[in-house]
Amino acid sequence: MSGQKNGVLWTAGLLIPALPVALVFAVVLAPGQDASAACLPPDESVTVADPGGLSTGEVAGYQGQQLINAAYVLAAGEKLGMSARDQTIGVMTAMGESGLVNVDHGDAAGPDSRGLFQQRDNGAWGSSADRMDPFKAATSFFTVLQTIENRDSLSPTMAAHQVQRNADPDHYAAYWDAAVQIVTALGGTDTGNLEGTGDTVCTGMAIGTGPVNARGWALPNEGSLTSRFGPRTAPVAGLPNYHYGLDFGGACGSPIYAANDGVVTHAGGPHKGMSGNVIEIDHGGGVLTRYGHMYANGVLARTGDTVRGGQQIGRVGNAGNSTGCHVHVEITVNGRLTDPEAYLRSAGLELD
Amino acid sequence: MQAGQFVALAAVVSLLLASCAPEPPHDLEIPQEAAARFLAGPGSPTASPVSVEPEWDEDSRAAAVAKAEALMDAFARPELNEDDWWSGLAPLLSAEARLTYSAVEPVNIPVRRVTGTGKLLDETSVYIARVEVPTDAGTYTVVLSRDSATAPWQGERITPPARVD
Repeated sequence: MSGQKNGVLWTAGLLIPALPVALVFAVVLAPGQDASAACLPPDESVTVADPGGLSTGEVAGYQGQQLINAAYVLAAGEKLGMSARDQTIGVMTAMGESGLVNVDHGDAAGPDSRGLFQQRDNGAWGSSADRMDPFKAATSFFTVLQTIENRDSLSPTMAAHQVQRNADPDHYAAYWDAAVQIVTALGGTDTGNLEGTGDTVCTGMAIGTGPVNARGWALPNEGSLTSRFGPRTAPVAGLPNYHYGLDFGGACGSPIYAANDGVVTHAGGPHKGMSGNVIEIDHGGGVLTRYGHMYANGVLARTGDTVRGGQQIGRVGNAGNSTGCHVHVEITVNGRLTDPEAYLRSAGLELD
Repeated sequence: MQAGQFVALAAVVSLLLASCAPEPPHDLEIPQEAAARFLAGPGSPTASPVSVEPEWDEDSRAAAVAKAEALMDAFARPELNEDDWWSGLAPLLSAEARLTYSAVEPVNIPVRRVTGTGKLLDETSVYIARVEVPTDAGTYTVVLSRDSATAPWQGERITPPARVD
């Protein structure tokens, strides 16, 4: 790597006039979905306010040229009008690839990898000189990230992975917290992106915790009951005239809590007759709970995760066979569907 | 049955139980046959009335370990082109995992072969298996899930040795 070259490029990066922030990456909301600002932070780009201060100090264990390289990444993202979330994803990715060091050699998996983003010599990332130029390399990264249109519905590590296509999609999450700290320090502002969210979609929202009773049980949602278990007239054509769950009518985006401790056995698309996105938890003893109608970006747990009672696992949505935001909750005991209302009352919870 | 009766029943049930998970109210009149058809989806009129819970037995343990080994065998093929690599791996993954891993470029995979037999780590849930698989790039951990007693194990996560979740 070349310090002088970096200095020139750094100047080039700083001289780029700040473009008006174009909000071209607004989240596309499905009908009925609340914008629920809590999930994502504002779309604005972050600007490096005090480049002169970069040569001193340490942020999250990174210092000197590493921080200057992070500033290149931010400047490249700002020039393209990327959101602060995208810019932070850029810094996180460079950390996960190179430790923010402009590496002029490859590794075992990629001997031709170069630079902050370890871009390979496969024609997609420009010349060797481009890949060793922090500003150009970051620009190449963001140019591809821009094409991932659903990236605001992906966790930061999954969004980074769509660009880098590495062997482990979860690789970058471990670097997110440090990236948030560096972006805050270099930008001199809180962008609203939170530490601890590198592997969840909602980077602007702290994962909540609901009230848990003495026996470890929690209400799945604080909304009122809107449809009970039992016979009914189907609200959507094609559904059976029997309601196999209990509906909590919490607001769009409001938290869905795990009913008790357990292991997540499904977190994704339709599952066991439930529509939209569905989470299922095995509480042991043959007891399963299921939570439905989330949007893809409202699923905040993954299959295999261990969760605690009252831990937020999702956000209320209106996906699938649904006529308004609510969470449909099912409980099975030894494979048999049971009435969640009676079950949760017997667990000592108060429902209304 | 009225809501008030539910409450009374629930109160009795909760008195009978200590601090463990509450028993369900067994005498509810739930149309389980219709429920099973609903669970199984349209066109499954012969589905059994109650879905059968899987168990941890020797067969399911062996099946989980074998699936994890097969999954790592299919994963550890960086020499293949994308289509061939994916057509070997995708059938072993859940729908969600197919979304997660479809963007992997096989040339970036550091593993070339499985070097030993898998080991089941955890039987906390009968629906989830966590299996260690030794490879030439260290010990990988594979998470598998299954939906029922008769459904196959499916890959959910493939975690390299350097990172522990």
